[in-house]
This record gives sequence, C-alpha cells and structure tokens, in this order.
Amino acid sequence: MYGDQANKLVADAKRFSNLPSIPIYQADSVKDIVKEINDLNRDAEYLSTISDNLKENEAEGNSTQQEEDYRINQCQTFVTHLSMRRNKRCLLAYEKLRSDKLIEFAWLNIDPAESINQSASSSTDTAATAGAPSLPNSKTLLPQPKTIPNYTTQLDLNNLNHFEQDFYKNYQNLITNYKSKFGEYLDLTGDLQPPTDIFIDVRCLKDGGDVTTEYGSFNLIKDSQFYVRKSDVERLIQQGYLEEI
Amino acid sequence: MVLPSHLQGNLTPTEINFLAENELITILPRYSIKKINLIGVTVPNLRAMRREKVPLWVALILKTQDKCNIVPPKWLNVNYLKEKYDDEIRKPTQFSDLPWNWLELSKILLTKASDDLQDSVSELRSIIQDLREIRLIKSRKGLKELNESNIALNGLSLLEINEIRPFVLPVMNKLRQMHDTTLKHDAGTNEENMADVTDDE
Repeated sequence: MYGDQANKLVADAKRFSNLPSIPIYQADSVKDIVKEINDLNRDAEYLSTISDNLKENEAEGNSTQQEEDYRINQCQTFVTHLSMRRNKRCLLAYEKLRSDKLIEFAWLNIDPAESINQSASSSTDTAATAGAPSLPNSKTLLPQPKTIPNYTTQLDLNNLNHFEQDFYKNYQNLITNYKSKFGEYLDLTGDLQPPTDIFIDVRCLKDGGDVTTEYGSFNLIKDSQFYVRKSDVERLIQQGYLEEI
Repeated sequence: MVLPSHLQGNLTPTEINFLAENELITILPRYSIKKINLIGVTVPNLRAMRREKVPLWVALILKTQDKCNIVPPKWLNVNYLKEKYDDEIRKPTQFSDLPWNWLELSKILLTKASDDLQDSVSELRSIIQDLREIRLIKSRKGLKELNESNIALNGLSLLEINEIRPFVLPVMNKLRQMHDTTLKHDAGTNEENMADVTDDE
C-alpha cells in the first residue's frame, strides 16, 4: 500500500533518534518513496484530466450516472493527494531528525578539523575491517568525547549524503560567525554545567603528547595528574583527554 | 535542539545549587578585605569580626581559605526544624513554610561549613531527612489531585518542585488536551479541523 515505504523510514528514524551517532543515510528507501510520489503525481494528473472531461460532459446533459462518476473521481483525487502528503511528511520527519542530530554534534566543543580527521580515520578503519569491530588501538588514539545522554556525540561524515555534508559545513560556519560576535569573553560552546570550583584535580586518560592551551602547555601522559584552573582544561575535558576528579 | 534533552524544560540539581549559591548569607570575616564590585551585588568592605552579608558562593570561597566563619541562617537549628516537623504532622494538607532553597542551603552548609553550626551535624541531618520524607509523602499524596486546570503547591521548595515537574507537567498537559477535545467548537470549519488532525501529533 502507499505509505508503507515511508513507514519503514520513520521506524528507522525512531530507532536512531536516541543513538549517539548518525547511521548511514537510507538512500534506497528515500529513492523508493520519491518514486512512489512521482507515480502518485502521475495518477493525480490523469485523474484531473478525467475530471475536466466529466465537467465538459456535465454541461451537455445531467444524468445520475455522470454525477456519480464525478464523485468517484473526486474521492480518488483526494486520496491520492493524501498519500502524497503523508509521504512528504515522513520524508521531512526523517530529514529533520538527521539535521537536528547534525546540529547537536556541530555545537559540541570539538575542534572541527579534528572531528573531520577523527571521522575520516574511523571510517577507514571500518572499511579496512569491513564490519568487524574497529581495532582496539584505534580507540586509544582517538579519545572518546564525553557522553551526554540522548545526544549526538559521534559523527561519521561518510554516513551523510552530499547535501547533509554541505549543510554540516555551512552550519559550522554559521556557528563560528555567531561565536565571533561574542569575542573571547563568552564561549558559547562551553560546558553547560554551572561552575563550582576554580581549581580542580584532573587525571589524564589518554596519551595526548604536548598539548598547548591558551594559558600554557601540558605534557599529557596517561594516568598523570594535574591541579589546574578549570577554565584552562575545560576543552580538554570535553574532548575526553582529561577526567575530573 | 542544540540543548541536550535532559536539560530542556527542567533544572538539574547542579543548576539549582548554582541558583541557591546566589543567596546572601551573613559571614564573620577573619581578615579585612576591600570592597569588591560584582555583577548585581557588591561585596562590602569586610573587617575582621564584623558581620556582613555576602553571596553564598563568595562565603564558600572565603571559607575554604579559612578567611571567614559562616553564620548559619536562623532556621538551620534543631529546635526550629523540630517545630516545623511538628507543623508538618499537625497539618496533613499543607507544607510548612521553609525557605525556597532550604534543602540546597542546608546541604551546602552541612558539608562545607559544618564547624560553624551550633547543633551537631548528625542531629541536623536526621531532622532534615525526616522533614524531607514527610514532605515527599505529602507531595506524592497530592498527585492524586491532579486535574487539567490548576494545582496549588504552596510552600514547596525549588528542588522538590523540580523533582515532580517532569511527571506533573506531561500528565496535566494530557489531561488538558483530553478535556479540550471534548469541548464543542462553535466556530471552526471542517477544513480547519482537518488541519488540526493532520498536524497534531
């Protein structure tokens, strides 16, 4: 029946709505739905020509048979349009959910360049192992960002379609522009937790080499501890290099 | 939305703590400190052993550096809280009037300034726990009275409201929706109703 394809798409959307990552774009399913809409559109055009014919005949003579035909035609047109509308709604819901997840990821305070490298290398990993779980040493190289419940914290650019990749890049530019208005005084992508202590103890979770923050440089060796100002290391905590104690 | 879903429409306990830390509290400084202009409030000139009112978060910073003693608020003692507890038992349908942030304030003061309190910490903790439990039972009972129009929660503190908010708001919203749909629409053509049906989820 019309709309079944769209239903599958929406069910898939519901499945990944709470995942921390964005799954691959269902190009086939979307193509099928668009094809279905095209078919429906052809039906609707055909029905409208019939209805025009009926109207012309109606002007000549008015029989009960013709009136019934006209009503049937109206009903068919209406249902066809409803099916198209439902398909449209499902497609939009799917795309909107994906774009929302992209927006969520874009606001995370992860350096854009790094996130692209990270996703690129992870995609090559998955390509190399072809479906098998990615190598453990790849995980030691790439720190996992802090998990936020029901939030998109991972992104693989290869899962996006061409338009979504463009959208993501443009949206990142928008964020950068917007942030630049606030200057250095306010970091909009900062930690959402209210500040508590000025100085904190942090433990290093991953080897990161020499990392230079704006206020000085650290040598990140695994399991070493520092007593530092929280605002200095906030970004490193968000990126998963450090853990607050 | 950009904001994570667990932060939408509700405050987290840390955010409530943050709000409570803005309250003014009386301190007894041990050193003289010059006046500080903050956004919204000013910390006045502090002179040793002269009581002054400062925001709680300033008091906590000074306290960790041992530069002041915090004077506990007048409601934070066992006698007063016992009275309130009796009040709660005497009036099963109301909440006694405690400050809107009594839970957060008492928790902060008990953990960070326990040496400044007059009564023993364990006694205070137990009476606060008792108060909290009896109020929790009352608010649970009150949930039976949920309806589609209004609810009165006089005397409930911010943290307690925050706990029941994620449950109360959706339930009241659904009740209101069901109530509204049974109302007859005087004006409103068929087409408009159709649009409502298709766009409502």
